[in-house]
Amino acid sequence: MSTPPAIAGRGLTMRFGPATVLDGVDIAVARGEVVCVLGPSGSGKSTLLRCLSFLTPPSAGAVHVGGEQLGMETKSDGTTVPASAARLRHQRSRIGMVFQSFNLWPHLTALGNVTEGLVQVRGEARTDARTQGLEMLAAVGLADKADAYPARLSGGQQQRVAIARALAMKPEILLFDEPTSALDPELVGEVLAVMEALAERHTTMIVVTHEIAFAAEAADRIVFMDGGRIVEDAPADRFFTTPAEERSWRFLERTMGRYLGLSRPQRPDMSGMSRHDHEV
Amino acid sequence: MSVDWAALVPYLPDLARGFAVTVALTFGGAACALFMAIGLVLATSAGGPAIRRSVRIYTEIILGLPILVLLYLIYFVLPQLGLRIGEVAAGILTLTLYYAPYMAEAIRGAIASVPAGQVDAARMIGLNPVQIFIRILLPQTLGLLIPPLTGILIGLAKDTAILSVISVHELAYATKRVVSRTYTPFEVWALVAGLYWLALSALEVLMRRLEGRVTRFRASGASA
Ligand SMILES: Nc1ncnc2c1ncn2[C@@H]1O[C@H](COP(=O)(O)OP(=O)(O)OP(=O)(O)O)[C@@H](O)[C@H]1O
Ligand SMILES: [Mg+2]
Repeated sequence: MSTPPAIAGRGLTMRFGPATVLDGVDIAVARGEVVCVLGPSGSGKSTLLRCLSFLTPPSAGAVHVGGEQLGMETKSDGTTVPASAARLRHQRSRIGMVFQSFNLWPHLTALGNVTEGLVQVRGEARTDARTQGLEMLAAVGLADKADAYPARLSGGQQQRVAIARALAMKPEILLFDEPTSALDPELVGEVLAVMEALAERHTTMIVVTHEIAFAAEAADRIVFMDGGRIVEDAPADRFFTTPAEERSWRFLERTMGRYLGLSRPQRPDMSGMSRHDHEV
Repeated sequence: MSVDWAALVPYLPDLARGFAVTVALTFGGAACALFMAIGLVLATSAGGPAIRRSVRIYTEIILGLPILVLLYLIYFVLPQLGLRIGEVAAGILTLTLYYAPYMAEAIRGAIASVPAGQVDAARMIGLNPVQIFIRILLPQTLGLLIPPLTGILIGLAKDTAILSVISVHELAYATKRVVSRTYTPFEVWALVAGLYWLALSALEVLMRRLEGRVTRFRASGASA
């Protein structure tokens, strides 16, 4: 491969005390690729995103963004040393993140939330930031809510503002951690629509989600996690029709009842594992 | 006992000067203490384990000391270690060192009410710890912060009177001097007590007004 992946984690391991929550995970996402991360609760999906963004640096392993290792910098003499906090912030600004709980700042308006980084981090003039911020809000369909405080917005609107806030910094990669899980069912669609539009424009995205339908439609690749490891990493169409792993198949069997548009996946041939022949 | 208010009149300018010094000490000390408190909070939230430990030890020491003892340590013991320091500087330093940990505790308490996810979002946008504190945490916790800070500020204002023992020319010191001239302790101290009470009440009202202002974004919701 000539160009480095947009983002790559190698050997990502995360320990909290005695517990190993992430166990040597390798993941690479190419520019323009949409990867959905599926997996049962507690399998380490959020932890993976937090390690990839260095919000919580991994206990072991490395993250490269566009070929540059997060948290490290190369001196002029060629040696690599731990990066300064400022350098890490700069590296991290290539990644945008959208959280399950939106995490908007309640004392700032929708526009204020979107322009905060442009003004404070990028040092842009307020008028320029305002123009860009309004553009971003328009892109998520919320131009008319620019002056509204988060408390006056619905969950779906808040999450769309949060997406606009991440987009405003022009990140190379967007990470989503269950962006619709905190939403009332009737508000899920408007957020997924924004994300689908991003996927169609080939925004590089890693999306942790329980929305199987979204994953089936928007993802190029599916990463299925369980127990802190990647169990299966496959093109989306293959994953949903012919998963290679028994655990993937079980997960799909359990969750696909919510989505009737997909035909049932084929059970992988696990002749050596006949003790699993209940269910179905 | 006959009350002789007229005897006070020639000394009113002395008392006024003392009062002005008390006000200056209060706001000077409070500003320095607040500055240091913010430093303490940032040190514990963004600093390494060694820094955190030092802050904790320092806080423990201060919480276990009467302010008068701290004042004596600074004014009488520091010079013996070769650090000469004027009485006003010693006074401000005492107020700062003594009150900063209390303010830091109030700030920490208020900040703890902000969901951690807001800080995650701020870090992802690229804000540095100082920006996160000033732009994200402080504005939305000011409403929570002002009541405890008002209490601390009033405590600090009262404690400026202690500085009279090292001859800082503040209101209590000026009062003692006037009494030693007029021999009318009742009148002078009654007047000064009224003055303290009025000033502290005014301070409290002022802070409550401020509280109303900074929490407006909550009450008014959408209107910008
Ligand atoms: N800060 C932490 N300290 C200790 N344990 C943690 C911490 N963060 C996560 N864990 C543990 O790590 C495991 C994986 O958590 P994680 O949040 O990554 O799972 P997840 O796949 O995102 O689950 P969900 O679908 O419920 O969001 C869980 O068992 C969780 O309890
Ligand atoms: Mg999670």
